[in-house]
Amino acid sequence: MAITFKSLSYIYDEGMPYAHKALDDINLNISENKITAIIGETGSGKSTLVEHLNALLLPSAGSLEILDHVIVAKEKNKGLKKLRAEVGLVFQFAEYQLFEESILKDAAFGPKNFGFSEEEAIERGKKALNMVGIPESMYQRSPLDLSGGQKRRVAIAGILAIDPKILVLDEPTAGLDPKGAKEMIDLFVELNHKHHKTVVIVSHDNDVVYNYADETVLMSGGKVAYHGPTLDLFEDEKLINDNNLLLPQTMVFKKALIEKGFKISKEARTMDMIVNEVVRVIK
Amino acid sequence: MNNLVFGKYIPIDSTIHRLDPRTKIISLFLMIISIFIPKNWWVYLFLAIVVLSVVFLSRIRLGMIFKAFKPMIFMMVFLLVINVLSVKTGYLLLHLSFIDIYSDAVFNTLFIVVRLLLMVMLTSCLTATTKPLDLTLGIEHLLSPLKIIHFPAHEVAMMISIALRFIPTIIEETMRIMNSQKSRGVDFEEGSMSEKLMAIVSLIVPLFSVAFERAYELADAMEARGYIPGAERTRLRVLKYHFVDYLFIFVSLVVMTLVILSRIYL
Repeated sequence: MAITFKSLSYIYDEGMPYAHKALDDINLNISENKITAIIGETGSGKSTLVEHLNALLLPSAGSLEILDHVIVAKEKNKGLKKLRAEVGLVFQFAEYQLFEESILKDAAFGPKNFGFSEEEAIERGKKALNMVGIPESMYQRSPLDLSGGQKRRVAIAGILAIDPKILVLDEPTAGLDPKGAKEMIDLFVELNHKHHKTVVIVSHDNDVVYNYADETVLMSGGKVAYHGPTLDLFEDEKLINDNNLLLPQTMVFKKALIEKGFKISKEARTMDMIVNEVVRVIK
Repeated sequence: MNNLVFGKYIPIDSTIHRLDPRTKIISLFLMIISIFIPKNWWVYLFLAIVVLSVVFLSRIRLGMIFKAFKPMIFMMVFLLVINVLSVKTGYLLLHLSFIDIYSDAVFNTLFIVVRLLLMVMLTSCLTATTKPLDLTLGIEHLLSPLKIIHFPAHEVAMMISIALRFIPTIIEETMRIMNSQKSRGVDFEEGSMSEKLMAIVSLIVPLFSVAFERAYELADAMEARGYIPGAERTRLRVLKYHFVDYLFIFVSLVVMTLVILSRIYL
């Protein structure tokens, strides 16, 4: 298991009159080398959960195991910096982390902090920028002058350059145009398939979740309402109704086809897969 | 952000919470004047009782208020040192090999400390019981007579309320940027001088960029909704004095009069 939560709770402003319990007795195993999606309504505790993954928040109660690190509530936890090199966290609106004078310097900032030499950091920065599709001609431009979508790419490259084993993304495609969003998601899928990264992705877009996530964690009111294969979640009508989940467009299309008498397997989760099955039937 | 107790609104219900913001500002003003007048410990005892009863009425826990003192300790020690070094009147209290400590030095410092403590207690009582927007509304009303001499009371109040409104947002933004940079291996607590400097740069640059972006967006949003500085406007909530308000201002005036009289006759 890459990440294990053991009866973990988190309370904001503990001991104050406006204390708020954001996570309530979470028990959760996130598997290695898989794409896990975290979904749930606003305020259900998704972001709080994610900020535990690289120890930005420390649990109020319970414990958390991440790779070889163990984090226990109310204890002095060491080696957090090493943990942060292994779990890369891309925040919602990651573009706000950009500050260096050039794009390349910004992408190399993370590796440099984690102890790589100047040249090696630059090398890693270049590699990461290449992955997110920022051309070499732009390396010397200021990251603050870019368009929103490009800023987001550079920010994500800043985390990829650290080359973490686990990549955690909080709403990475929010505010991107459909094409840019698709390219981003493709990149994460490739990182998972080719480079065997464990990917955890928080998303509001159930189509992305349905199309790509191996497993899904559904959060509701600070608790885990469902954790298991994504395909099973979207077949479970009771869960969907109880949690006001929007059905993925692909799923709606698939259901309409099945109603018309087409036989389509449960595993067909993307438009391409569905089309292939339909074509096979017609032939 | 648990340490930001000073100046934070505490959402409970109490007599003081329900007072008109103008009453609270006027009373605070009168009380602060009273605090700086006397030179007699008995009068300070009397003032302390008055201040403590206000705190009691506001139902704010004393512990909360005491937390606001912590950042002041350094200043008080500093004051003591300066006074001991500079004041050479009164009788000799203590003779050390290299320095003489005079009675006035110690007593002057004690007066200042007590004045500051009382003042901070009252001020945190005001901010803890009054929502920032009510506070600015109160300030605007109190400043509005100055409109006769073309003082932009409304604009000033609007600026204050925008500033206050964005403090939590900027704090949130700061936390978010700090978290992003921590994820990129920045250590805000430890490290050498140059690493610390880099850490601060990595926080300040994005913060400025976000703040300016927000400012432009806010300006656009205000213009889009037809905001014209200085235009005549109505309010959703109209401030109104009640009996308790008059009582409060009256009591503050009485306290101030007593303190002034004490200075003349004691």
